[in-house]
Amino acid sequence: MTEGRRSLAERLARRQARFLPAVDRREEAESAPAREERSLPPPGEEDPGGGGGSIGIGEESSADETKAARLRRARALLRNTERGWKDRRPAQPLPAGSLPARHPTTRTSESARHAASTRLPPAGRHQEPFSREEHDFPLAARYGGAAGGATLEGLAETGEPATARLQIHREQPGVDFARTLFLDTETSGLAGGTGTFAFLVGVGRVVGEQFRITQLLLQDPGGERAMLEQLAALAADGPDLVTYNGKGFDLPLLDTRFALNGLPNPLAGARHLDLLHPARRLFFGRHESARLGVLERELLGVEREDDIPGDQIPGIFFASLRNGPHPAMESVLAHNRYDLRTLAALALRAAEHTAAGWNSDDPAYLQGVGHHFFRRGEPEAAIPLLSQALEAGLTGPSRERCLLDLGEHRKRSGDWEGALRLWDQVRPGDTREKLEALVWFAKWEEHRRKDPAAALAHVEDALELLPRVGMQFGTETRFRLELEERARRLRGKRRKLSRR
Amino acid sequence: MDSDPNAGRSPKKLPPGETSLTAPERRSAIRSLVAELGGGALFSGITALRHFSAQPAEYRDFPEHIAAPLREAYREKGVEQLYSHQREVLDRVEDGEDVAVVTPTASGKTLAYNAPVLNRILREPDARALYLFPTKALSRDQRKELLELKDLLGEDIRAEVYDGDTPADARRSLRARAHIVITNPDMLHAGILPHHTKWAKLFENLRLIVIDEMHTYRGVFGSHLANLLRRLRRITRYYGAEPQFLLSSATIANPGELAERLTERRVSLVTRSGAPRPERFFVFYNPPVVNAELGIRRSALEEARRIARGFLKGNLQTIVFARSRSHTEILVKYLKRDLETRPDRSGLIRGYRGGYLPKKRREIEDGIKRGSVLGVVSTNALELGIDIGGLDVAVIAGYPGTIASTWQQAGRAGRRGGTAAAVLVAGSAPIDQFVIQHPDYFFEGSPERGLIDPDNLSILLEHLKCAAFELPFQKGETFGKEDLEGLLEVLEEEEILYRSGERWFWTADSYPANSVSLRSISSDNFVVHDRESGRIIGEVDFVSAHSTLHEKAIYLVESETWFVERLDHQGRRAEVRKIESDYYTDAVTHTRVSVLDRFAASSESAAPAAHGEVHVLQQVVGFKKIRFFTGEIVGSGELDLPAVEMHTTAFWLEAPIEVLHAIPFGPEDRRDGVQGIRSALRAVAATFLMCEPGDLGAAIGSRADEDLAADDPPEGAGGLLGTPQIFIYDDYPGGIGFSEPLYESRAALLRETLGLIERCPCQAGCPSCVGPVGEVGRNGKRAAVAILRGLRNQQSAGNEVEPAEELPAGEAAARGIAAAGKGSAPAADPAAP
Repeated sequence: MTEGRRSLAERLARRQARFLPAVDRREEAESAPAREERSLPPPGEEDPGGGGGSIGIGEESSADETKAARLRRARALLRNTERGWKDRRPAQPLPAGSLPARHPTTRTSESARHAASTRLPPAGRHQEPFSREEHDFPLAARYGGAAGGATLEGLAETGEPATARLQIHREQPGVDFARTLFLDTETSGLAGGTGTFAFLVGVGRVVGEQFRITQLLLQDPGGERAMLEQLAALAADGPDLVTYNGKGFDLPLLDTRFALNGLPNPLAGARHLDLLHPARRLFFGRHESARLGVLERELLGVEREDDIPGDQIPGIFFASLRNGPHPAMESVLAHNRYDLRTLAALALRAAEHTAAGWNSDDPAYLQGVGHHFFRRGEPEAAIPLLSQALEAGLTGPSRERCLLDLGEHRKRSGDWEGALRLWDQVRPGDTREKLEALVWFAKWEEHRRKDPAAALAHVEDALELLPRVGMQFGTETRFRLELEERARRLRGKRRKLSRR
Repeated sequence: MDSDPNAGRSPKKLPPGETSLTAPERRSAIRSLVAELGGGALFSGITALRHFSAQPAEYRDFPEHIAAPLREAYREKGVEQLYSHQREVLDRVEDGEDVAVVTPTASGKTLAYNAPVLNRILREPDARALYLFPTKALSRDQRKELLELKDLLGEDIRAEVYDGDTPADARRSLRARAHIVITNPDMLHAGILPHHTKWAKLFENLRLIVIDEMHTYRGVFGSHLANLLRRLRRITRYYGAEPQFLLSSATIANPGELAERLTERRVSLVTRSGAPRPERFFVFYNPPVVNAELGIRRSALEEARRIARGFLKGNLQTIVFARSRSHTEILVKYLKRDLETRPDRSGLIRGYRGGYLPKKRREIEDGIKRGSVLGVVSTNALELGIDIGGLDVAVIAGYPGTIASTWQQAGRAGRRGGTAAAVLVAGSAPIDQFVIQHPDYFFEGSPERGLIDPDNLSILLEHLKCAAFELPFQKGETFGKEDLEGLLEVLEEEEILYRSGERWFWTADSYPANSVSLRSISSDNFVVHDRESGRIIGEVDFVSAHSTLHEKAIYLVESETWFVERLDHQGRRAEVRKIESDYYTDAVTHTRVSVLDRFAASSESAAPAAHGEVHVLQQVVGFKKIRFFTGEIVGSGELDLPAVEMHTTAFWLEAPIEVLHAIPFGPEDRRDGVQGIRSALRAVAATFLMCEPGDLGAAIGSRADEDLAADDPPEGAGGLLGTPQIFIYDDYPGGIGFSEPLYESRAALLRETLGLIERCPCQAGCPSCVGPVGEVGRNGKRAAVAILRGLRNQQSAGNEVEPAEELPAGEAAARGIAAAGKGSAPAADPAAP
């Protein structure tokens, strides 16, 4: 895999030179001896420059006029963003120029309090294709407000096997936080594809007693290659990676960028912990969502000062690209640093929850950890936590999820009756948990009691419930296909039975 | 794609269950039914009955350059020899040429491209091929065919479909491992090219690009495809590949030109078919006039039903093509009632159209192939090469709009070595009436030209954006024959691209492929949910959703009636409940057009014409309930639905006040006259442009009302306020570029419109000219003629020089229409049932 990628990158690098189209190559060949004659269009080609030399004067002016009219029309068409069916999504509004001016106070107060030092001043950025700045934060320093906040104490000492227990699949190796790049990018958009690039790559790592954040900020899209080479240098010693949704977003995006620039991807094949997925399980039910910002606030108690909404970030980059330094770019950089520190703090907290012997007064947290282990296929760790959680008066969706897991465990050990008693306690409602309970009942009727009609009734209930649960489209489709297939099979069985 | 022709030499098809006929029985049944039709005892409106005798095949041996195992695999499939055209394609591809094969339906075009592709992969195991089909259904069909060959070959050749239905987990391995990637233009546009790094393996090794059903890429869709191919070649160049093109097409007038404009390469043409042709009868039938005064003919739908019923009762497998989804559904219902007379006969008649779920479509296709489906009613969805084998009879309910489509649809009937019949039943539209009364126009005429304009600015700009997203543009690069740098600078000024040195980078927070749809319809489909089972029973495209899924509408699926309880516009879904309904619904749509920009306006003093950009607002404001079978209106309702708006281009004509006042008619008649001109003008314009009338919208507005137009002329004060304007607009978001050629030939357009109305022998208007008298009133037709004469006089007074013979190719047809009138048809036959 890595091998293949490397060779692809090399092949691409070689091809970059060839990517000039035919016309261009010919021009190059001809232009060497006689540069002045370049204004003459090549035979049979329309003049690409606009100032044709060989055309008669009258025709020239009319051709120019047509060309000018065409360009005018092009401009009008582009401005008319509402063209076509108007029902399309509105264009992303660019952030207004009324954003708060730069935040020197944030920077200085932070520096003063945490002795952060800026290695490279932001000055002179625009002469370079990208800028690099570094900020050191003592691991012991508390950040994120007087009320709560978090520290990164213990980061250097956390590694395998503690972090391996965080992976959602047992076969994935853990990472060593002491030699990890905590990575987060800010991109030109969320759409993905080869036209979306990272204009800011932030990495945090442990250096002595400090958490050192290095930020690479693109000043010009043409500088991407140089920036990526710098990132490769940072990853030269083959570090581990920790990200938040990096598997789905940051890493494939960077992979595409490396490939497009004809560079090998130094991150390919690294040991990687994508914290989003364990976080979803560990903190399910207890917090409104697994978004980094939500967990930062609710779980870690971190309050950001002057944070910038994520959807404004690409616009700030584009604005600074065209109009020179944008005051809000400082906020973007600060936002990225918050994200990185919180990523590390959250990784520590998650590792704490999954450590052997951990316990909590909060049944929802117990259930989260129990669920995580159960799904990893470690019932011996999971079941005591889940049972404890249920006894401690678990409520809400966590409770239903807990019942499902405990029931599944009973069923696996052959105790169908015990399993059914648990699933039966799942409360009715438009929930995914209820849906899954119905599927269990259908399985029970079909495979144990051999009653396809009763099983079918459960499947039909589930199908009826499905659209009300409000799952993501893909998940809902998967459920639907599975249920419809089951219903089809059950109808067949029922027919067969009735014939006998 | 066609089913493999050679397979037919040893017929595998099962005859339809209890209704099986032997081949000779089938032949004599078709002959006698055609004779009965042609004899005129039951149907008085036969205008042509042509007989085409069977033609034997022209065979050639497999060439040596085709690998022995592949020849062996085809032999096992029953293909011992090639048809001459297949051999020709194979040889030319071997010589490295780009080839287009243009032969009739079921002539084995599939083999002509599969064999070279498989041969190449056998020779070069890393080689890749990309297949583009216009629809998903065709992709699935093709994969089945390739899998069969792969099994016969016993080689690990992977052919995979990549489209919206491909499961996410299958995509990754497909990208790296599929030798043949089968997809559609929309997916290439929005799913593959913008992620080309993930497809590096495909693009580096891409040797052949197969484009089937090339004739579908005409007009705006074709212009999009040409740009898409520019983008594709830009990407393959980047990965160092220079693939060959292999195109296949149904018969059109200019296949070579279309192929070269699409690919922008020299394409070698193979047009002489060596495939055998079955004996075929082709009948033209014009439903009789039932009310001469009102110019009303018996409905084509009703007549198609009668004719199809005759064939079906003779146990002949019959396909009926209807012009719209609702016509399809209505015909299914009628024929089910006629044929499915006993419970054990249920399922003999099926419907088929785009909105059905894929699984249902597969089931119907299989039923047709196996013979368990005796009759199928379809939209043009089955016109393309979905493999359903050959049927006995094709009944075409309403002229499909083009000669090429008509032949395609007729070609669906025809078993190898058998006898086939096709019946065209004319509708009341002017073009139907013209064709049915001038059979030579069809039988002797050449099929339509496939015209595209890849440098249409609005289409080009969209694709430039997509291309820049895919890879930064380099200085000196070309894209078609465009002066690229000027456009790139404009894109830069508009802050979509950013120039850095010699390159232009995409710098916008968006995914440009998402904001351009290659087809006229928005890709945003509405799903139809059965409220009771919670299941999705169908999908409806964005534009049709308003008229078919509004609340209280009856949504039809294979003649089952579903009552729409709720339309969730935001959520793009409709909730329906199954009911037994004896009526269907027909939505009433209002249209308003306002001018945004004039590109050009004529200088003639008094009959100003112009073209430019317009804003079209359409709103479904109500609906009518129409009883099945009788067509009687049994109720109506009002609706409050969000308007659908689009920007497009339009041609428009003004009728100045002085012209209107100079004619001896009152205000109401004048209004009727203007409305009549609108109907006739649209029909003539469609013929000029060689498009379907449905591609054009028509509306009336008035200039005093500040460029506001409604399809209902404003009421009060005699009906007309200010100077009336008649708009003919491109019924495609963004426009297709129809308005400029209309504007350029405005004089001829006026002349032909006047001719059409003047020469139409109806008394006071009919659907073939200004519209039925019920719409335009007693004096509408005469007023229309008077107004048009006035406009023509004004024009000549303005010294307008008519563009002589530089009209679009459709002018001949337009003249034809003008000459045709329903009155030349035989009078209603009182004996007809």
